[in-house]
Amino acid sequence: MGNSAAILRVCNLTVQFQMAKDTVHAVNGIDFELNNGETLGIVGESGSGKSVTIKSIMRLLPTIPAGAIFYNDEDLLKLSEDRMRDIRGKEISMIFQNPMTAFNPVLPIGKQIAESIEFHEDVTAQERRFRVFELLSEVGISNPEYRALQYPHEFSGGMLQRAMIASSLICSPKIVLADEPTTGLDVTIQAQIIRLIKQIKETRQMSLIWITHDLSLLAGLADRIAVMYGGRIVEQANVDALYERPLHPYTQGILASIPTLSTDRSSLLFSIPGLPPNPMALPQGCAFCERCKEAMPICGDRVPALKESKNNHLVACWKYESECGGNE
Amino acid sequence: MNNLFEIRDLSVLFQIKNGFLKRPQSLRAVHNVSFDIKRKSVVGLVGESGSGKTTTGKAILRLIEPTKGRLLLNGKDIMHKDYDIKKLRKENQIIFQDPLSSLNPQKTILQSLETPMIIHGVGSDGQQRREVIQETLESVGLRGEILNRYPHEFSGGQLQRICIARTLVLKPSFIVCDEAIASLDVSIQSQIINLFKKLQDGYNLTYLFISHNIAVLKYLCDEIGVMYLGEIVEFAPTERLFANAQHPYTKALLSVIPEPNPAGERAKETGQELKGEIPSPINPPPGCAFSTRCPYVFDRCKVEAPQTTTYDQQHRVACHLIAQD
Amino acid sequence: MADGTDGFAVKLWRSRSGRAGIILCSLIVLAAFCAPLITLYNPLEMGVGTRLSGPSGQHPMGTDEYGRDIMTRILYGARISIVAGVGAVLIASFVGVNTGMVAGYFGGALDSVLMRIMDAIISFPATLMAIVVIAIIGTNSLSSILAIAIVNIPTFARLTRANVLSEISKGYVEANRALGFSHTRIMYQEILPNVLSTLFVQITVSIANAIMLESALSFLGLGNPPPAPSWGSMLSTGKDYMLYAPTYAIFPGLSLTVLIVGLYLLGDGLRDVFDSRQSGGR
Repeated sequence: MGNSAAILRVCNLTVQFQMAKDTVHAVNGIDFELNNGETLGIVGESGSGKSVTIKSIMRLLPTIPAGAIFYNDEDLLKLSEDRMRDIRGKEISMIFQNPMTAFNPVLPIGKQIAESIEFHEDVTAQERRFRVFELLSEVGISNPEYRALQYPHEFSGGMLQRAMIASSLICSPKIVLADEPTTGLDVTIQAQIIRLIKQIKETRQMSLIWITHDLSLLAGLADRIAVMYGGRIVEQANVDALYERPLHPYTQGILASIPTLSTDRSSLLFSIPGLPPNPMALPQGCAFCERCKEAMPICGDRVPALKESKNNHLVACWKYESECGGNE
Repeated sequence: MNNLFEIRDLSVLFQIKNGFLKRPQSLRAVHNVSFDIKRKSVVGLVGESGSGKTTTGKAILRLIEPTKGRLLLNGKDIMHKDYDIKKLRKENQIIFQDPLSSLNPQKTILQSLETPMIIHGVGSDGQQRREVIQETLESVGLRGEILNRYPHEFSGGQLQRICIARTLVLKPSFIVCDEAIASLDVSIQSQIINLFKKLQDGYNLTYLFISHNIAVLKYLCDEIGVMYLGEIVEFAPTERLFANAQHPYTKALLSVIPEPNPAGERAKETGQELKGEIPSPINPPPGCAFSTRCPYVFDRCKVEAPQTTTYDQQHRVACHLIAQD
Repeated sequence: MADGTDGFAVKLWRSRSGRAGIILCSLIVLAAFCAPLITLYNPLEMGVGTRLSGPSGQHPMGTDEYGRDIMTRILYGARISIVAGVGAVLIASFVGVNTGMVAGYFGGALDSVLMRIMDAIISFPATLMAIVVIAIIGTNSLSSILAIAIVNIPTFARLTRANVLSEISKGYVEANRALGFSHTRIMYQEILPNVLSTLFVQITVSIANAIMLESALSFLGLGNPPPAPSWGSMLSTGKDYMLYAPTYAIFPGLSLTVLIVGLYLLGDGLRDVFDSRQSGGR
């Protein structure tokens, strides 16, 4: 897991969007850390706020969110746009969900990958070309000199995602944020991409945040996992602890409802009743309250805070209130 | 007669225009697919992009016209020119992946549910139709208040229930579910999977369940066909498939399914993933379609397409390795 | 009410352009069809005033070279413009929408043939095309309407076809086929309602263009033959008298402008209404 010093610290991040008549409460006061060299998985469904969280780190949102995001003691949310541009792509980079739409269809792939170097570093065109070819090989694209001249539509989904990974790595960032990088890819291609990312992370000693809605995927990938629901983190734990002893009823529900190769065919699947919350109309108390079979009166009134229940295992649930000591 | 559907040598070839003067290219979407669907059973089709599973599902309903092949429904040839297509449509339905786009945004839920009934003469007047609609809505877990609303007012899960209700009001006997849960949130997927199971008993249904998610198919299906580049490479009863998969592609698929079990995932050997990309269906490899990626490939594979052999009763595989034994 | 459940007309009124458009167009339509109530003169009656006199108490817009009251001729001329514009567009939209619908829905050879015919029509400049048509069928009051209609058919055909193709790419058309809907039902009862909004906007723009084309044709002497009080022919004659009686040409020109602007504003308003529907739902 590497050095346990935190390389990224998110403090009380809150993101709201103003629509015509409603306010979308996308993220509601979350705190978490990314330790040096670890893979942090953030899992949640639609409306959970996971994508917005990641975009906040890169300051890709139209407004600056409230709270603080510390990268090596600098608060990213307070930096000037110029300084932020220095960081984006060079220190912190992002792998986007849909490579077909993330690339410009009218520019060759090689040129787009090289753009990052052009902006951040002062090297000759020849050196740039060399690095692009080197990186394309590293991500498993054969014949890089030829492929770099091709356009996005000439690549398959898997190959394009590799190109996207290449473009995120070209300036050797310390942190990579991956936003659903394998969603939409075929299962056998997904396996290749996962292996590639794991390999690259080891070789380059980076820290990784992986966002997904697929809990099964993170089991073999992440060191720690944060579960988001209704714009808040409801559980956070080391990967083994989360799958073996999930604490929050939502996490328990999700894990129980995924059909696995060992699920019994003759009985109905466990399923969480109800619908995911609407970020424009979040309930007063815990967002999971109306779907939770263990709900208590206090759950509807007040939002539970994220507290440590056991060793590094945090949960935001009134059920455990008596067990969690006061801390922080 | 136990078989609802008998499908023999089904092929679907699309012609892709290449501009005015150039010759069109052929896209081999489905190639010599044969299997049976037994009454009241659930058959699954699994595969990745280009596998042809969706095209197969639509072709057996004649939503896409097959290029060649025989389709027998209850023993009758549905490709025959005199076959009553309208009756085919009433009794054999399909549910699509994106429920929001499957509904006309300008029509109320009531209109979307009632129009098919009017067309097929289900219910003799408005009141009878309403009764059937109410009953059906209840059986899919929805309430009558939704009838005067429009599709954009509902969530993905609710919309999929509405689409399911839309097929059920016609009292079909067979439903093709084409990636019907793929676009739903994880916490909703299990609700809909359970719904499919419950409805099967309540409405005496037979399903063809198409998905890329083999774990869901293991839970729902009695038999599963594994498709690659338009062909069925392996077809077996579910337990048999998972206990004793024979085709190299099936084995590869099974080995890369992520499971929510960290220790198990770590224990998996690395380097087992299939190399290479899925070939283009416009230019399928000569010989066996899987020869470009198969870890066991030998010379015969690149030249000659394997025949389907019966490995075990009801367990069929198309692979030279198996045929040799 | 600030929610989405207002009626269509209310929404149109609330849009600034829509309101202005409704007012202008209604004024002119009203004036045209209440002409006998507004003016006591007969548009064809000669010698009711001194020839080519400017605006006066008796003749608010002056008289023409035959002593006919210009205001009366403008009011009755409005009827010609409106009937020609609306009539031509009704024909054009009926033929065009059906052509586009069938071409877009069935595709293939039918689509190619129909669209190439549309391409042929649209490749000629509108005025030239209209002249050719009139040359073939002769000059009478109906021929200009027909000519203008033909010139406008491709616009509706292309617009409808594009919209139909876009709707087909959405899932509900395939779902309808799977449910056993007939082609006719899908085209006219399922797809068409989704296409109507753009059609309505196009109709207002096309009516404006049709009215201008009618005036151009009358100006060239190809529209309603004299002594019909069409605005175009009044403009044509009026231009010769610009030095002595400038108001002769100015008033018909002004009326034409007001009507066109009114129609465009109405179209803008309609677009506002339909856009708000798309983003905010009904």
